[in-house]
Amino acid sequence: MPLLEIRNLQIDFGHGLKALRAVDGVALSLEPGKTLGLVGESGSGKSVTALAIARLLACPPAVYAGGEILLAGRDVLRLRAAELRQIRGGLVSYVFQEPGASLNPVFRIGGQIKEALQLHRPEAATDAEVIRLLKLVGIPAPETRMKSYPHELSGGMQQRVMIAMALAPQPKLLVADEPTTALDVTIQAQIIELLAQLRQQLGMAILLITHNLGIVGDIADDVAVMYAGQIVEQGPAHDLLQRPLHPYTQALMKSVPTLAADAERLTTISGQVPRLGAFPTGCRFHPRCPVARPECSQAPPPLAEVEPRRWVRCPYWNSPSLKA
Amino acid sequence: MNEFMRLTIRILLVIAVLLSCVPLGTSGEAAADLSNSSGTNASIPKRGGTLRLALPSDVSSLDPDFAFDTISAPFLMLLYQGLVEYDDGLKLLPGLAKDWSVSADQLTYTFHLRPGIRFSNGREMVAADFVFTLERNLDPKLAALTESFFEGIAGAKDFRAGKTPHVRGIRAPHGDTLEIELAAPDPTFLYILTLPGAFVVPHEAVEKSGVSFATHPVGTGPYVLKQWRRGGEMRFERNPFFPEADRQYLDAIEVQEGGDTTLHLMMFERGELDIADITQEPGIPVPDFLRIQHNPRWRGLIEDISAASNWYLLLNTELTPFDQLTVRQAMNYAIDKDKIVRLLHGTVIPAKGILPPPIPGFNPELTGYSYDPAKARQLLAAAGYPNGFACKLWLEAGNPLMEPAAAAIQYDLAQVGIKAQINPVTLPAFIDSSERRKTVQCGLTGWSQDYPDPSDFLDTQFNGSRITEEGCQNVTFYNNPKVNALFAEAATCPDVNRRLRIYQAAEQTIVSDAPVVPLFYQRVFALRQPWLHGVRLHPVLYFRFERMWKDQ
Amino acid sequence: MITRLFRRLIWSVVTLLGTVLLTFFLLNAVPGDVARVIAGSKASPDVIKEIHAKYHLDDPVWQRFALYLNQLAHGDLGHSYVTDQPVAEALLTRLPTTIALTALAVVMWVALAVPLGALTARFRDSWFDRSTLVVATVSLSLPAFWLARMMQYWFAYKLGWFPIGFFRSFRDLLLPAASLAILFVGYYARLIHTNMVEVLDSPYIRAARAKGASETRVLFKHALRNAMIPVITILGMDVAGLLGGVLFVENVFALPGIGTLAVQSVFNLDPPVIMGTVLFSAILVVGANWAVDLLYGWIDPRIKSAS
Repeated sequence: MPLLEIRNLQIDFGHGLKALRAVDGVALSLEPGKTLGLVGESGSGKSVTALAIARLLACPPAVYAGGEILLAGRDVLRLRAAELRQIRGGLVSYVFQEPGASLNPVFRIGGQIKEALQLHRPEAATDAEVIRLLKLVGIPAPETRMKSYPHELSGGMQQRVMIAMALAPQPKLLVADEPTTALDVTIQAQIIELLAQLRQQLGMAILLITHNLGIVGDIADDVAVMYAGQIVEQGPAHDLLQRPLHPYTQALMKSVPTLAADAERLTTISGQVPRLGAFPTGCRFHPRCPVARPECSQAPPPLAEVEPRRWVRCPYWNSPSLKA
Repeated sequence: MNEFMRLTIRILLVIAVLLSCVPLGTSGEAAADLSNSSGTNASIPKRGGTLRLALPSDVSSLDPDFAFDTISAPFLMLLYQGLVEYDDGLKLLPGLAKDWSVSADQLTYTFHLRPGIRFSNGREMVAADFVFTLERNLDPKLAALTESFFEGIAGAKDFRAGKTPHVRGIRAPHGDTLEIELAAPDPTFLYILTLPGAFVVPHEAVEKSGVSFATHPVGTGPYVLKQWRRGGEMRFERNPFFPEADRQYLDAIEVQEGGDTTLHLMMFERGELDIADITQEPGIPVPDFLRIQHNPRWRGLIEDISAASNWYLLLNTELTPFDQLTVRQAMNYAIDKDKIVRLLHGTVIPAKGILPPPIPGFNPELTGYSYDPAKARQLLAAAGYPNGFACKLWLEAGNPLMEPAAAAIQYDLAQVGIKAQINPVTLPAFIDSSERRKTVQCGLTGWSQDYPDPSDFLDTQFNGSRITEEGCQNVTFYNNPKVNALFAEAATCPDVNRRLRIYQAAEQTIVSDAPVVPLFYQRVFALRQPWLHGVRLHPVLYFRFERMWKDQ
Repeated sequence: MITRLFRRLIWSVVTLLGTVLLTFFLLNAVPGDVARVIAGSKASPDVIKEIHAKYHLDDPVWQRFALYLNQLAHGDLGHSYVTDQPVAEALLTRLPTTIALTALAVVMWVALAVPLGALTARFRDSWFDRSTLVVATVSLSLPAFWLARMMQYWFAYKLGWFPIGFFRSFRDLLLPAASLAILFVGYYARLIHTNMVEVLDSPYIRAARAKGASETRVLFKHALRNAMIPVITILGMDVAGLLGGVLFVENVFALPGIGTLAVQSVFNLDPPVIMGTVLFSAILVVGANWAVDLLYGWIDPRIKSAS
């Protein structure tokens, strides 16, 4: 049984006629101990999907319009408030994009980690456990560091604290929502390495949300690419990164910054991410697609399994112009 | 919204728990005891009980040399006594002096003191205590507030100037005999001896306490001050050395200091006070007066008495246009006093002259002015003001009697073409300005008695020979040599009836010369609970708590 | 840190001295002879002269000011011209009442404003939020004197649930404190609401929810303390306004506190007591600013290390 299974998830912002669909029929599956990279530009719906797993979206304005999120077999969307609090932190933990803003500025970091322990492992809510966790995420001198306030730490250290806090209740799934975006490039690599190492050590599953295909390759088993609220391509990481099938994925690959590459020469994808509620008809990517044809603006293409375990939302994936 | 409900309930619970720690008992007691329990026993005084009172402002001092205000007066009467005292009216009775004689030249008074009188500290009172008391009062270093009343004693001026160590005219030839010699005959001298400045104080207590004698008073009165939290609460209890049981019915008198008359009336109506208001202002707040008067619950419980105080519009006879007699008379005709009385809900009596009804010499036959605006216009035209004039009407800001009166007067004057601009100022500023020569053109003011004698109203305020540049109590700067001569004659006139006739003649002349527009005489009201007796108001002292008693 | 403290100290002293100077000279400019006030309207010129001598009223104003400052430097606030009571004693005997009243009022309004502000922020735009906004706006615009009198009239006089006035037991403080609290609760509920709305949108609140913290915990532990930071500043600045409310409430309910003393001293035109109450208020306001500074560092650790 998969640890996480998302079926046909639909999320709107607003009600009735004013409703704007941000996530439109997303399906994902993640086995225990595996890592799934969820990739897309900002506004693609990847973060909304990630937050929905523990029902963390603010309602209103968000509305869970349809689908199921099965976490260890139970539909998160049908849980009562008390059950939900058990799931949050206990089964699924989060690491967010801006560690500085995600740590409460008025409490010491030790206390914030201890709170996570109190909520889910009250028997382990001790200084010793806090120190062990801080050591685990590679924070030097944890005995003194635990008395620090968040603003006294660097960004990288803050993210390590966030990770320690997320790991404290020993969750089965760690959702890392753009964990490195706000950090220096060198720190980014350290954090990704830390996550990979912790997955090895602790055996939890990771859902890594990022706009950067480059870091996915280092850690993910599978990759799903989102565009305008839909998954456009999904498959095993190695295969997908070697041979992207969807024109959007291909465009993303070209824009990956690598340590070796000169930032000046990065290709960016032309055009803009469509605004929520202003998605184009037909294939939502066609206005930006370098190989679009007139038919692309007509019917919305389905997500089809074109090869074993390779899913693509483009009927022309196999055409010569794309392969070139 | 179930999350919301749960949170709300939790918070309400917390608040409920917090509040339950607070003793929220209701005062419960039904305030209205409609059955007037005074019934048959009301005439037989009972001992016991505590009198509960409230005062709108703090008592400034209980030292008789400094507490010269209407608020503290009834409390001084609890603590001290003088040589003579009033009966229920204006007649003087022996007080600490059992009898006295006056020499043929009307200059020397010889008092024989009652034997066995003790101060509340236990020491027996002797004549020398009066010598100390009066010299203390006259001592310029002390700056007592009542001293000017005793400056007529022989040698007082020399003593005050520092020329003599003692006052020549105050002597104690024996332990129980006191002689007071005056510089000139003064028919009002015995009245002056009823004033607080003549209340006897023991020298040892004064010397020991110094300035704090004001809060640690010792006297021969029926009660002693047991406790005084300044600005909070005063409590008086019986003086064990006091000889007469008929001045000590109450176990104690409790006074709350602070709050306004509205608050006091509310407390009274809920039975928390025994008398609604004991100030010598109208007593009951004017806005509440009609409501109280028409409530059957209080029928027969409103005590009232004509007060020896008057209110008038002063016209400065040295300033135009009031230097003209016809203009001053026109002012008298132009103002409708009855309307002012109606505005004040009938809590005052319209005045024709200067002397109020309780003062000896009050003249019901006096010729005054009627309300006649046509006549006023005619006089104004004759004086050269056919279109009226503008003037500045001064008054004390916030005075509950004067503010409505000023509005009515302004309206009446406008009807005859006089544009009065109302100028409210603080009381000290009003006093300062009105007593300064050629400063206040016209203004609303009043006078209340120090002692019940016509001289206290007429000589003090209308004697032209007393005019000074500032600090002048003749605020109209009225100067009629004929009237001055009458005052001089009356001042030393030993014949009581003739003296009163002289003052009446002076009053009639003053009214005809119209330096003032007499407005009204005040009345004092007291609202008592049905269980409180002996409240009858005194024409001079008003409240005599030492004579009250309660049903048990 | 040291220079900042030092600057603060200088500023405080300048404020206090300025207040003393201003009040002294303003009082000096008030028309009317103080001796008149002491002696009453009928006092003779002799009495007035004696009083002038006793209180140095004829000295030049600068000389009297110097005398007063010298007195202050020796910790002496002088004596009341009217009652002869030492001003310091008058202030000290009345201080406990004012402190008890204020403390109870603050407890009441914080106990109401915090949950109200937090809940209306959490459930914003609900019927509950809207009706609270209406009530808050009304309570904000109530005149203090009128409100106190109405509370007194209905709950003490008409219904008899509370004593009408005066201070004899703790119960006497409930209604006055409630009147004072109502004046401020609306404003503070809205203030906390506004800050709460902002704080509730911040990532650390989402992080707290992601941890599995309950809504109560999120609101009152994670959000409230952050939302209180600006509130503390306003509270410090409001001490002056609070004193104004205390003044009215004490007078309506006849509580023997600093407020009634202040009003009475003005009515009596009793300069030493007026100076005393003004100086006391100034010290309170300056003190409140210091307290806010200290509290600030405690409630927001970022301040402490920044300074």
